[in-house]
Amino acid sequence: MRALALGGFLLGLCTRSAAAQHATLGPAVAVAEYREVASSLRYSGVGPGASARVTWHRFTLDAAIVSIQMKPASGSAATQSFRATEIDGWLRWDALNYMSFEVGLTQRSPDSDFAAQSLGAVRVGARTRYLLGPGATIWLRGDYLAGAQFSGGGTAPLALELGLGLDLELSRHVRAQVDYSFQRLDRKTNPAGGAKASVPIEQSLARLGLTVGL
Amino acid sequence: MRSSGLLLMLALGIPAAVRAQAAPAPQNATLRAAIQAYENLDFTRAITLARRALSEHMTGPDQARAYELLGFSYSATDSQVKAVDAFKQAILLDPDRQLDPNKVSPKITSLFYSALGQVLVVRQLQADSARFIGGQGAVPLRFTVTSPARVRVRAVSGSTSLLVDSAVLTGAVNVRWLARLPNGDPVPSGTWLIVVEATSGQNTFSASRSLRVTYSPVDTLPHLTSLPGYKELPETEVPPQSWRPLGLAFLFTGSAAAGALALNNDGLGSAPGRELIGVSVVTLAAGFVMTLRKPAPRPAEANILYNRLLREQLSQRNADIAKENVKRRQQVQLTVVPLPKTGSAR
Repeated sequence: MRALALGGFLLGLCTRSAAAQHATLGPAVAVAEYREVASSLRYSGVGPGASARVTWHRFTLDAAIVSIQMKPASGSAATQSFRATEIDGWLRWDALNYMSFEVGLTQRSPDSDFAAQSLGAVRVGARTRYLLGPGATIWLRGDYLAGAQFSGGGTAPLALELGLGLDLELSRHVRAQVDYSFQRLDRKTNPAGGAKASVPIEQSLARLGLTVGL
Repeated sequence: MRSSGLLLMLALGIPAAVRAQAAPAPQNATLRAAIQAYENLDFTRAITLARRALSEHMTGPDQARAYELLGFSYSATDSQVKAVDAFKQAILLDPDRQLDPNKVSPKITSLFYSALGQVLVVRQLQADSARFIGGQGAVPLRFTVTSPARVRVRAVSGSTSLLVDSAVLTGAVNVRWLARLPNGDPVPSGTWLIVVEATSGQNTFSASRSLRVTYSPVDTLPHLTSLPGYKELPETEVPPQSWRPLGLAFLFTGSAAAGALALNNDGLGSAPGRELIGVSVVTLAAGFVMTLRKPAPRPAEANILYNRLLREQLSQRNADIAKENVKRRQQVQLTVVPLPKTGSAR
């Protein structure tokens, strides 16, 4: 349902792109590793996705969705696979040629609430980028994931995300995007009203996508 | 006797001068006979015939030539006072009459100039052709006043009479006619008469010159597409090739790797590396390729600023030109051409 909503949102972006300065849209493939609670609970997986971007003057709106089939990694104590759908959004403002500030949202939803925690948070951060050469831009970002909400409850006072990416212009209308993000959420729960329990979550995700300019 | 006559002829250079001064042939037969006598060095007979011719009906130019012949003949017979008197009459009849110093003896020339200084005439009134925007130019006028006199220069057309200048003058005079009415407007097109009146005591003399004044629109200035001598500079420049792209790729991937390691929660095991390594390899490869490739053009801020200033200057110049053209469309260009000379003595 959420995927459908995001699809509608992306379609809306497409239809409005004529009025925008730049708009791109395209498919992606993602690989991810997800860890929760302890080192023994590890998943890894691959899945399809899509990404879109609208640029208007100094503002850039990025949106991405991936749906990854997570399977227990080798050596993991986990036994159940699940499909995690992650929706990400960033609204970026270019303060300088090489520096932007961004806010955004992230929403990760496993199809089984018993297999992994769902996550919803607000991003606040900054991004630096540099033009490596004609049509090639490298970037690095750091975000704080504020107000993280989990399906199993709890809070994450320390919730950070780190990102590295590369945008390549393959032709006038086709771009390739490669990016990596690493999330660390120090989730604390207090299920029985007693002492807080530490239930950390980490995810590393690499995404390779192709986008077409509209 | 014959040799003394030739010597006199060589000394005065008279016959050649008379011929030079006397073309075309006079209408009066007596005058023609007087000239012939003069050329035969029979000065007494030349004087007699010239005086007889003056008592006959003659045209103005013939009268002037008769007096001039008398002047030449009296000079040859050393009657200087009579020669000067005859030259004065010739000058009054034809104020612009000149003697060629290369063909006429200095003796005669000096007597002629002596006569010139004893009469009041306005000589050689000249007006140059001129073209100018109404109110912004003038027509140069030149003339010579032979004696000190009150000189009034007027421009006359129909019932309109405009005072150009009024002063006590002598010798060569230069005057500028602004071709403006008293209210500042350009004079109407048509034929204008420049009248120079010289007054000294009871003596007056006037000379005039006709001018044709025509109107035409003032040429407007073309708009500029570029400033002469200046051209826009390229707004991008290609930096020199360097290892910077690869270095930056290392810096960014290194920072991401260091950040991931630092953020990794030890309780969850070692930091995941597969995804980071994959993206890092692609990034470093891109950095390496970009190091080998020609660098991307980047904005040349100084050139952009220069071009902006150039465009502002160009825009300012065109705005000035537009203003000037608005003004020019409200103006008129006067073309002033002198017409064939007329003159009269009083």
